[in-house]
Amino acid sequence: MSQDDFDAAAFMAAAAAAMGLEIDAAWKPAVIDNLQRSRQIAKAVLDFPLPDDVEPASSFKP
Amino acid sequence: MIDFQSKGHEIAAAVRNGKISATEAVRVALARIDAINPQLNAFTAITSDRARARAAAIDQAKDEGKPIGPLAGVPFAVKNLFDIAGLATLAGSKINRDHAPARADAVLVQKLEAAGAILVGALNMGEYAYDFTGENVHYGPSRNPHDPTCMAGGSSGGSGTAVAAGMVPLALGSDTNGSIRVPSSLCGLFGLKPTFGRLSRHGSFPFVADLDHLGPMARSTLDLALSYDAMQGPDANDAWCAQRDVEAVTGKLDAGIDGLRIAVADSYFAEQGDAEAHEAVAAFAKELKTERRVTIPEAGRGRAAAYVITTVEGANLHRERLKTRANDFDPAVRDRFLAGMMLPADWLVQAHRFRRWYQARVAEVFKEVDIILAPATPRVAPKLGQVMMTLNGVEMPVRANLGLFTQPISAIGLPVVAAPYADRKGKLPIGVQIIAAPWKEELALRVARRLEQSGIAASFAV
Repeated sequence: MSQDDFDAAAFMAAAAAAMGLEIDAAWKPAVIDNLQRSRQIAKAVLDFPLPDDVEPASSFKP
Repeated sequence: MIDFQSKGHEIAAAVRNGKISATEAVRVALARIDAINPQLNAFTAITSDRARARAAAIDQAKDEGKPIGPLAGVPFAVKNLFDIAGLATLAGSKINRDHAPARADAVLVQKLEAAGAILVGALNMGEYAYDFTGENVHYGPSRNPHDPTCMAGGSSGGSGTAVAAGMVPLALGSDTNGSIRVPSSLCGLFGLKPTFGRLSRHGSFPFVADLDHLGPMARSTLDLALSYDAMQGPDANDAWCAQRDVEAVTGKLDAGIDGLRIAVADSYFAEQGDAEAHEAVAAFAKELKTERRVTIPEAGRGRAAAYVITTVEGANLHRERLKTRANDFDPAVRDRFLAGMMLPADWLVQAHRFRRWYQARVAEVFKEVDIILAPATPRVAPKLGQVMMTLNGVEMPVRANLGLFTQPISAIGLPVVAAPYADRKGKLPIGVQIIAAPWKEELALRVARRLEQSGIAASFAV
C-alpha cells in the first residue's frame, strides 16, 4: 500500500464508529494529521520483512 | 557549608560527619525552592512539613548513634507520576486531580528514604509523559534554568529544572522514549536510564508498560550511582521488574576504563542533528581515545517500532478517559492518543516482532564493543512554545523529534547514562548518550565517571 492509498479521514470515520469513539469536529484535522504521521512512521516497520520465527517482544511469563 | 551547588554526596558526607544537620540541608533546599521555583515552575507540590519531620528523625537517629544511610540528609524530588502518600498522583494531568490521594509512597521513594534521602516535593511534567518538551497546558512549562525562555525538555521537565537550578541535587524521572535523557541533555545534567526491568515501577503512574523505565537525574555520577544502588532490587509487584539481586556500582565507579571497547554510533546517529550534538560526541570520543565507529542496525526502524508501541499502548491505557473526559486532556496529547487508539492491531504486533529482531541484531553489536556513544538530543533547548524546528534542512515538529536519538535505544531497553558536555562557553547545554549492553549499567557509569573526572563532562547549577 503506498502512502497515497491511505485515506486517513475515511479510516478515522470507520475506526471511530467501530470503537464507539466520538471525535469532536474541531479535533478531527489534528487527529487525521496524527494518523497520517503514524502511517508514515509505521510503514518503516511494516515494510521490513521478518522471518516467521521472530516472535513479538512483549511476552507473558505465567 | 553547603549551598545550591552542593552535590548529593557532598551533603550526605557533611551530614554524616556532623558538619551540618539534615535539618539544615532541608532548610537550604526549601529556601532555594521558595526563592526561584516561582520563576522556573519545577514543583507542583512542596512537601515541607514531611521533609522537616524526616530530617529531624535523621538528626535524632544520628545523635543516638544509629545508622542513617548513604544518602542521609540529601533532599530529592520526584516527577509527579510517582506516588507520594497523601497526594493525588497527577502524572501531569488535570484529570488525575480527581484521583484519591496515594496511600503509600512509590517503591523507589521508599527505597531512597530508607537510604536517608529526604523527599521535598513533586515535580512538573508533560501530560501523561507523552512529551519531549517539558511544557504543560495545565500547570505551565518547566523552564530551563540556563535560559528560562527555553524548554527544559520532557517529559521529566520539572526534574531537569529542579536539579539544574540547584533546588535539589537529585530527582527521579521516568523514561519511555527519552524522558530522562532529553531533559538531562537540555538542562546539562547526568541522567541514568537503567536497563528495562532493573528498577521497580510499582507506585508510579504508567504510560507504556513495555517501555517505561524509572531513573535518577543529578549533577554528578557519584550521585547517580548512590541513588541507583539504593533503588535496585526485585519487586514482584512490577510484572516487568527483573528478579535480579542488587548489583551495586558505587564501589566500582572508579574502576577505570582500561580494556573497554568504546565506539561512536555512525549512520542514523551521525547523519542527523546539529553540529553541536556531534561536537559533544567527538569531544568525548577524543577524551576516551577512540576512533572506532559502529553501526546500530536499523535504528530508524527501531525508533518507528517504539513510536507505534507507544502511541497504541499509551492510548489504550487512557481509553476510558478519552471517551469520557477528552476535553480535559492537553489537546496535543489527546489528538495523538485518539489517533493511536485507532491504529490496526497488526501494526502493533509487527512493531513488537520487529523489536525482537532488532534486539537480537544489537546484541551482536555488543559482542564487538562494550560502550556506544551517541548524541542525546539533536539540538540544544528550543524556545518555549516553539512548534517546529529545522534539522539538516528539514522542518519537523519539535515535540516528536527531540527524542529521535533516545527512542531507538530505549526501544530495546539498553542502559544509558546521559552526560553533559562541559565545554559550552556560555551556550546552552547538550549531552551525550553512553550506551551499554543490557544489565551493564556499571560500564556506562564508569565511562561517565572518567569523563567527569577529566573535566570534559560537567554539570553545575545555575
